[in-house]
Amino acid sequence: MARTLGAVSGTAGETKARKLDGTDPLHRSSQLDYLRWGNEGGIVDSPNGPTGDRDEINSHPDLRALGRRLRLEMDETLRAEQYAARVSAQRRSTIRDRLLLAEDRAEDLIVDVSGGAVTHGVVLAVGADHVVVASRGTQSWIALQHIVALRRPAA
Amino acid sequence: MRPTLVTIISPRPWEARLADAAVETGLVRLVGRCSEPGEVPMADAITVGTETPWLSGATIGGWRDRGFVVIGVFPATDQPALELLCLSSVDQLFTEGADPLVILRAIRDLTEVPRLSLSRRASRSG
Repeated sequence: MARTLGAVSGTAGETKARKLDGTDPLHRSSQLDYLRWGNEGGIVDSPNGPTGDRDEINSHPDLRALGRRLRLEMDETLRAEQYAARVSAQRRSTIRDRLLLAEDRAEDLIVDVSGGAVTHGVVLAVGADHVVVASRGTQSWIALQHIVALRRPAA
Repeated sequence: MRPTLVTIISPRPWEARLADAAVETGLVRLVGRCSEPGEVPMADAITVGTETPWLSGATIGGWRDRGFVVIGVFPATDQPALELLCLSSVDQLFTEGADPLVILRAIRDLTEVPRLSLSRRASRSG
């Protein structure tokens, strides 16, 4: 049986109850935010929203402590989710993604190519299968499949 | 000149979609996807979702004072999230379902508008 935490006004003005048991993943973080932005003693009412159970949570000392604990736990969950998102983005990234980032940052890079050639310069453009590196007035078109390493020059 | 953008990395799909669209379209230069406030490099604009655990009005105000155009993204049904962003005076609001291209065009347009940071305005008036 899902417990509900108060009532929150929806976009169309309708009243919606939110589950606290995590069975509603779409709204889970919203619940976290809802708790996080409450004051130290509990949960703050929206000036527009209906109050309902939230008044009870604000006024009852036992529920204040519960609200604080839930807020902390939810913050930890959000941090873990954000960390997972970062790791996931890193694990999915490719050499081409890194080159695109270098292009957008106008970064200086050292590109090691198979066969031992080294190109040092600024990434001008990244194509589907190649990268253009400008170095000392010359531009090099390098096939992505030949890149073996990217390095940042020492500061 | 294409504006530079930083996104605060998020487990919600809107942020990955926005980053992909930025790279594919080239409407903006994506210079960072950050997860901590201390990692944020200087840029023209920043997008942040209300699911970010450390997000606060002070953080948003700090970015605005540094000259960022701040774009807030929130779940459509989340009234407290909307209130936080409104009270923090973000430059533009979008719901999570917004088309990434619409967000990118808004960033491009907003960064072309000359703006003064709150601190600079305060120092001039004081």
